[in-house]
Amino acid sequence: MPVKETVHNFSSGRRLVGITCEPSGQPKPTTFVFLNAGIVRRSGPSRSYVMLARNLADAGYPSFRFDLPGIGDSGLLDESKSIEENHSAGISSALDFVEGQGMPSSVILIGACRGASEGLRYAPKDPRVRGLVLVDPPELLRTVGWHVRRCMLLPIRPVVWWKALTGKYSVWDRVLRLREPRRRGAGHGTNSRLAYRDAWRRIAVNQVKCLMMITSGQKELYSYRRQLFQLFPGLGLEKNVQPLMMPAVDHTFSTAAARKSVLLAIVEWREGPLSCEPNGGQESEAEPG
Amino acid sequence: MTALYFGPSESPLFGYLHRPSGPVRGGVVLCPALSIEGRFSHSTLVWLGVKFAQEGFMALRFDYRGTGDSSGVLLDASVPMWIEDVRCGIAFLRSRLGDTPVHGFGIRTGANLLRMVTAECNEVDRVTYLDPVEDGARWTLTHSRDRSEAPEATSGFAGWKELSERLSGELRDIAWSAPECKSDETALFVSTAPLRSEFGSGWGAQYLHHPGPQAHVEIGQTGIAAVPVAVLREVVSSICP
Repeated sequence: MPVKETVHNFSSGRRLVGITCEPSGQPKPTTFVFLNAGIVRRSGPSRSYVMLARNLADAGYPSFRFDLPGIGDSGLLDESKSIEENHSAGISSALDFVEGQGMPSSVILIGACRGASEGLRYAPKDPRVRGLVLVDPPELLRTVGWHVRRCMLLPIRPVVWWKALTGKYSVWDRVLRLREPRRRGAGHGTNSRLAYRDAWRRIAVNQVKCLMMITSGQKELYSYRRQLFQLFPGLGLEKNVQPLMMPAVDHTFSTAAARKSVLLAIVEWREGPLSCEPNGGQESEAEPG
Repeated sequence: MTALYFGPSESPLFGYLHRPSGPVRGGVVLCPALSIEGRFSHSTLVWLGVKFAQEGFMALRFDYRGTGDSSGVLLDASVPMWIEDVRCGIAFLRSRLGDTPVHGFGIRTGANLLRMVTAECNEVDRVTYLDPVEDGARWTLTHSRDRSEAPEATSGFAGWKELSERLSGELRDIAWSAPECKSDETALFVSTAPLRSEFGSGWGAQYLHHPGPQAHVEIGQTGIAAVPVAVLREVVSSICP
């Protein structure tokens, strides 16, 4: 095995399980910490976290993947508390553990799907989190621009023509449906929208650098690069968030080619101008972790 | 409970050891299912691990090489490699427990792999197979059909997008080999689904048809499967009488 993987039981009562994945040479000064994609174990959907962690180690970055409390092999930290509180405490424990192991304490959280939501909620609370990599956050909300693009695409979708020709396409039903309370997918509704806006506001205020990757799995909800900025104008997200449309990558980056694209995007972002380091990470690269 | 790596140092296996708090009566190797069925039945194996530990048995869960947190990549994996992994798990428990008996449990393809080990030589004392795959070709076809996660992928199963042609062929060739039990083998075969009549009989093991929820089948589109507690109690009592 070209990289070094070590398994750990950690946190109070050693209830959490995680695996450090370290490069064989001198590590770069950032640790990537993976957050479970929903209820999928720490190995990630289609084992994507394992493969990405090993690829990151090959590129010189150490990482830690673990199961949040109540998921996979980890037990709850405090059964009297909510899942959200347990998860927050779990991420904090993981970061404590990373520090305690002598790994670089400058952390970038990576989360796909629900893991992205966890990262978005947690990152502003902990100064050790210098960056976020979000893959297909599920709460993306639709904008006027999204609807315009969708309408423009309608005429080129064969299914629309098929429905129109067979009389199954009802424009009037669709207009009425727009007036119904939004129930399509997670994160819709006024309260969710406000909470989501608040999470992004905290990201902007705390200047957490963020790479947001939108794969083919989420293109239905997020159809153009600046959708987030148009959704929450005035927050100054443009300074901290780099949206990246990746239509050739599937939701679980399950092929070697997809993983390579994801890895390149992360490394380029980490070492580029929107990096977590004020100077683009170039200078700090020389410092040992 | 301890998470650890075991097996060959150049290609270690990830394992999770459920230790009893009191004296150890024996060990149980829990062989997981493959592909997406492994994900769904994970909580069933956790349940069993905890239960066996409460009964005084050291239970080992593990990931086959090329899957989960174990070393390697799926493209290099093969059925003979996974059979070796089952042996490795048994040897690991034996090295920890000395002369104390070691038992085996396998679910779905894990049951098939365990059967392939026990058919060659009797390395475990009692063995329980839960819902083994009858016909690898049909199993492969069923899983290949679910392409919703990555329709653009060129090959693979649900939950597994990259696997070699060789491995695909080996999985298609999996069949429930049910030679008669050896005289010293104590086997329980549990099925939660109806079987072809010739499948569950005539091979000398105790056979139990227990209709109910299946540990490897997703409930709706929730991403989880049921933990069939009633069946699992039978499993535990067969190994810890």
